Amino acid sequence: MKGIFESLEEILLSRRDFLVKLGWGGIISFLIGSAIATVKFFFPRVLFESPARFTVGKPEDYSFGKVNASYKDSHRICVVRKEDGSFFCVSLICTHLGCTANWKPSEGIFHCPCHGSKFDRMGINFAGPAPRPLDRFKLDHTPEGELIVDKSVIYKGIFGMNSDVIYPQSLLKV
Amino acid sequence: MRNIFKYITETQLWKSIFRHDYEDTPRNRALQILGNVFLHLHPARITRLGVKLKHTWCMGGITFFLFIILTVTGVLLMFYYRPTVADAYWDMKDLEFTVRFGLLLRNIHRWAGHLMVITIMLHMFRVFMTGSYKPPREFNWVLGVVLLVLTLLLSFTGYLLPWDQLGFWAITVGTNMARAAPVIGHEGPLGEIIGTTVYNDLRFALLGGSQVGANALLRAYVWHCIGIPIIAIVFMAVHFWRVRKDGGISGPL
Ligand code: HEM
Ligand code: FES
Repeated sequence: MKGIFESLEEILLSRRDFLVKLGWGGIISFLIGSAIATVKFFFPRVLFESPARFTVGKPEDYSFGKVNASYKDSHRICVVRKEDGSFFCVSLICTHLGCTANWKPSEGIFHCPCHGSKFDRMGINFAGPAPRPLDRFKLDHTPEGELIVDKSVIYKGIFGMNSDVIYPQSLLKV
Repeated sequence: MRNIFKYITETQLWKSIFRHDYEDTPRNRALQILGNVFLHLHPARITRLGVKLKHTWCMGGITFFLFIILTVTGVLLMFYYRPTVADAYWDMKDLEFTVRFGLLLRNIHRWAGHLMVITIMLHMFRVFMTGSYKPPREFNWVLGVVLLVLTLLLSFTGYLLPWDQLGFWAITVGTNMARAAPVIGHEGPLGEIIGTTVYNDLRFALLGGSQVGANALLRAYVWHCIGIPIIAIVFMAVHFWRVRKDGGISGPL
């Protein structure tokens, strides 16, 4: 019997060591838990941002071959109607560092005020630091015949590519 | 007059607060530094070079002085400024046009902020040129780099607070750079692979949203007025303490 206890004592912790380990273990796991909770705390779960889906009027409101900038301030987009009557919705968020590009009707280009990037009426970058064309958002129509933008579906502009060709689904034919 | 002074400095009250008399002996001077909670961070004795303007330019000292000015003027600004989308810009205007000495106050805070960035860089430059980053002072250089980053962050978060076009787009551009951070930015290397999006990356945590808005303004305010200053004060205390512990201001090589 005595032999067993002696060898057990070698494996087992003393009461003191056990309590010290338990104490420190508790403190450390509390600190790790608090750190994780604090990081998570910084990610809000509910946002009060403008909705991803919104209507932008009826197709008849748009004339052929024109860029319509009336939703620039509220949603940072333009609705473009091409010569052939089809539509697409272009994001005005500059692909450089995210300022809002302006539509300049006189020059027929999108121009970003922050570092001077320029995009043609198809949203393709041709001057300044912007590395790729402007993104597009999904455009569809509601049962009532209104145009509706869905910002959660993004057609990302890719350097050197025409979004008309790589994203035919971004064009809406009415 | 003498007698009154003598009487006051001999009361128990006075002596309980100030432990050392004013006799000008080397020992007393050292004790006055050591016995003071603020001054004890400072070396009790410094080399002749340490007080030479041509050696230190006093740039670290000036940086600290500017930090104190910014703390005092910043707290005063907080009495009139509200970090909300509806109020922030107009509170700045009120500070400029209706608050007594508000324009002066705001400008002191702004200029001291700009100056601090300049003086901290000059301080770093002088430490580099005098070779003061060499052992045993390597760690104080590291602390210095942290202080530099904190100072730039103070500048950056303060920029958004007027809620004007300049600040708004500067913060838009600045936080968009965080998108490109590896792993924790949704446009950075590995980001897409491990599933970071606009709604869970570093930028989202900084702004409290996917765009610069009400949450971003409030966050910038709290970091600017509370969070970063507290962290900076802790680092500064250690920075000064290390100057003392590493043998005072560096001497000639
Ligand atoms: C909040 C910003 C900072 C404050 C308030 C500050 C303050 C000070 C002060 C008061 C001194 C005493 C000597 C002097 O006045 O030049 C000092 C020394 C020193 N600082 Fe800083 N500093 C800051 C940032 C930095 C930075 C950015 C660096 C470099 C990366 C740095 C590295 C050092 C080193 C190595 C010393 C020791 C120099 C010597 O012994 O000659 N500090 N600092
Ligand atoms: S953000 Fe548009 S050019 Fe830089």
